[in-house]
Amino acid sequence: MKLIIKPNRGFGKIEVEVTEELWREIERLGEGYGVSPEGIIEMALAGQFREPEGVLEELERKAEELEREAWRIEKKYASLRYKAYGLSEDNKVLAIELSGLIAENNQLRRFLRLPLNRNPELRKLISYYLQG
Amino acid sequence: MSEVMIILEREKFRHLKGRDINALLRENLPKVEETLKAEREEFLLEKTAKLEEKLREMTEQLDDLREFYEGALKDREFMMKERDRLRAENAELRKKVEEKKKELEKVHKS
Repeated sequence: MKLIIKPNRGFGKIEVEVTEELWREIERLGEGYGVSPEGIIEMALAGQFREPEGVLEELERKAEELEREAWRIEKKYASLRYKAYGLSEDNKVLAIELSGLIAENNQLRRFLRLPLNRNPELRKLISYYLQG
Repeated sequence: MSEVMIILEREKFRHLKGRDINALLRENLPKVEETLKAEREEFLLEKTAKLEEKLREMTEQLDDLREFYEGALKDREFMMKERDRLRAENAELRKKVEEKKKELEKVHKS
């Protein structure tokens, strides 16, 4: 593989034949880390290097575990949201039925001159589910 | 024949003049790999921090939803009991109303 190196400003170029073995190594590195062979060569020639902390495997494992956990919670949430929606709809139907029953109860009680049932807790629930 | 072209900063380009590029690449590739590992570590550190934050939010949302669901279950129990009670009571009251109507009709006729 022929390698041509040029400066970003000015003239001149360096041409060199990269050995096959070296090119394979460059490609292996590039594929392993998702970088183009040109990127690898540029890094190697620019000479600005960093030292890893040595926790790469641990971090890969941790990220994988966290992703699995997020997926698990997401599935749980979706399934519970579906159930909660169904339950909320059931409660709405119940609230409609109850408001009819309360109206009938009041009418009957008025006719019989009986005191009306206030039942504030139930009324609060009915209005909550009818609004939702 | 295939070729690749690299553009470098002028200063860096000057340093390469007259050097054995193959030897330099061979010498530096392990350092490149170490640098790539360091960059990956940095990326993963950010990613795990974001994931941890996301997990905290998701857990809170799940707890809220669970609380809502359990509350709605209790509400359903309560409303079903009230429905049964009102159905029975209304049936009883309807009977009384019928009886009263009949009494009133009797009074009107007499």
